[in-house]
Amino acid sequence: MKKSLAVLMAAIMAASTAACGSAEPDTGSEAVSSAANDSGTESGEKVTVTFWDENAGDERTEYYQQIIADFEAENPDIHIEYLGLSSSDALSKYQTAIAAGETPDVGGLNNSWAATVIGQGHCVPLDDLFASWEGAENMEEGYMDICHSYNKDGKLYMMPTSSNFICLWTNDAMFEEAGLEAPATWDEFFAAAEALTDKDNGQYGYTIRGGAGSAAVLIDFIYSYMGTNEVFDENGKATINSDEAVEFLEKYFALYGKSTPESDITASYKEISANFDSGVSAMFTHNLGSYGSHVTGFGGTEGFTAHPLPTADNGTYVNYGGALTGLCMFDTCENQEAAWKWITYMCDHKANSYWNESIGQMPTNKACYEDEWMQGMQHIQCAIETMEQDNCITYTSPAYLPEWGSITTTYIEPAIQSVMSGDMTARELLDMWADYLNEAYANYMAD
Amino acid sequence: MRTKIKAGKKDWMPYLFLAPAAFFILAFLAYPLATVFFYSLQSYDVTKIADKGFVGLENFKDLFQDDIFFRSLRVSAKWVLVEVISQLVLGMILALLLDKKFKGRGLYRCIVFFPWAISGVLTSMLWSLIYNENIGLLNSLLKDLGILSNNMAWLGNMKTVFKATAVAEIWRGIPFFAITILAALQNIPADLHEACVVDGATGFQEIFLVKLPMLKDTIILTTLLRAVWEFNNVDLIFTLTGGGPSYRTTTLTMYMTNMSIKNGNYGYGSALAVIAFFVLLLFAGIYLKLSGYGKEDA
Repeated sequence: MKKSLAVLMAAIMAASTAACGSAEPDTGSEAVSSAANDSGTESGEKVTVTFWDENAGDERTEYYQQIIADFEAENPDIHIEYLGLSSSDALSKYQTAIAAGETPDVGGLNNSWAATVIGQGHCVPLDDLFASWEGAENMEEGYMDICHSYNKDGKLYMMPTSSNFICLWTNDAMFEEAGLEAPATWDEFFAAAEALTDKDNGQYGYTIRGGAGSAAVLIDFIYSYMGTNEVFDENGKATINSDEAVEFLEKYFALYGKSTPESDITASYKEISANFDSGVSAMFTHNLGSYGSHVTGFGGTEGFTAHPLPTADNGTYVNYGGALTGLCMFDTCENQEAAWKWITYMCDHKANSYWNESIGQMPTNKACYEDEWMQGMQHIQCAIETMEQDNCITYTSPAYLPEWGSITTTYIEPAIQSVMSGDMTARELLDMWADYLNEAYANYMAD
Repeated sequence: MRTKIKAGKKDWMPYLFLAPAAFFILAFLAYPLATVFFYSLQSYDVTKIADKGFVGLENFKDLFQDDIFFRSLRVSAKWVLVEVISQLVLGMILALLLDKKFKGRGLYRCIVFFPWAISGVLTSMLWSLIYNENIGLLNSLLKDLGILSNNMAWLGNMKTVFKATAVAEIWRGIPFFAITILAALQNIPADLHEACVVDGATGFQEIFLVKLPMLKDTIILTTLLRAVWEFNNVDLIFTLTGGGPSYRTTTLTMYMTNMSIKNGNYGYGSALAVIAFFVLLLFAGIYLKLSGYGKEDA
């Protein structure tokens, strides 16, 4: 009996050792070239590239399936295994996968948490591959620069596939009825929100995002109001608690409950988008990505219009420059040549154009700019025209700080709700926010 | 005829039969538990991966200086107390009603069981629609009755969010008590009821002096189970309020979930899990001791 037990134990131990061994991930760029040479694509075998979409939805998944079908038709030796993640838990899925060494070959990243994933050291630097890619010259330089900023080492870990632009979406009929023009300044915006509110008839001028994701959009509005892109001063201190920011927040949250639905305090994108699409709110701020939802809600492309965020008092328009989504390659990828083919296919003219036309966002490949569809979409034109203005400056959200996600979800978002409910002042919130940002920035610079 | 079992076989046979169960207990209970204890002593924050390593009791030290931790612990205690007491009382009333003989009793028993059969996420969707500020049934009903003049955001208002969430969970939890207490009621011998009738006891006297003492062990066990489940409840709160607004519905397990899964701070999240484990262990021990579970009444 003892002998049998010993054999069994030995077998279990051997199995566990093997399991540990197989879980050991590769690291560094060296893995790229060696694995690329060993790729199954060269040996004629069909290889599988696992791919996680970070923001799956019925429509998006369908578009991806179409692109994958085209890609596989052009590359019969590569199979793309698609897995759609919900945007709300994509980050946690990546974190769990990284901890378990079970990451996909290629993963979609969102700018709000791309730095958090990349910072964990399991994404493959793509600089060498990018340098030797013939389509590299067509990629928008500004977007590539932003991608290089996601990690302190300045290397390229994400290839951008879409860019975004924050719009002020307005309900045409409500504005027409009130005899108002779309607000061009923040003061006009506050006045319009009040004028468009008719509580007795369940109509509000605006809808505030007070739930998940509130901090990420609020900081963009703060800098838009301040008319500056300096998030940290020359001493590395956050500027978010300036008097101007406090003034903005006091005005902005004064709208809550008065010119917005009361339930906005816990509203995330889904709820505020529904408020706008169902005619509860006349104005709504979100990026280009909500276009599809408005088309469904309004029953077509008429009835709503995209505008840029209001201009600051100093005449500056602050454009949020970091709203990129893209693809990275994880170091667990065994067929890096095939994975790179898939990444570049998504960045190349044909797929990049189809993808961004379908989801209503800005392409990252400059060749797409001449495409006919880009001329015909009002919200895309609004983004292009605004970014071409002389008064437009680009601001980068501190979402690149690895602690950004935990700071905003654990402390700032609940504090925003406290300010909305009157339990906390705007000054207290911004001072707290500045303290967390200062600490995170100092850690970032020290690492 | 007595069967003789060889001494050798007697030694290992029980262990062999217990082995599969022991394996699963070790793999799915002991190992994860040990891992949580291990990580609670580690710095393991995916946003500070360079700091990963043993930190001793540092996570626990931080925890006792964390206002949100104490706040979530208070919300948890309030949540468990409100839920278990409300569900027990309402479940008991329903069980006593369903124990009576009346026409369509089977159908009513099925209806009572419905909320228990519905998933937590579906319950959340149902109640979020009921509570919806603009299209919600509750606002519409209260306005029609003239009780409310303006729409109310039940899940957004600081004063109503806890109560509104608690009501949704009470609705889901009542059937558990109703069904288990009903099953226990049906095990009470019929002659006790006849004796009460003969002795001229009122309905209330029969319930409080005869039935309740006989239901003691069932009540202790079900309340203990329910308290543990409610303490660990995440799904309904997560989908209905996300723990907000401003931590009003953030229970300890919600905080733990947010800290570990959302923020990737597994070290601190594990420390919270260890505290939750000991809180439940302590509660179960004290509760069983004080309630005298399994002891016959003198």
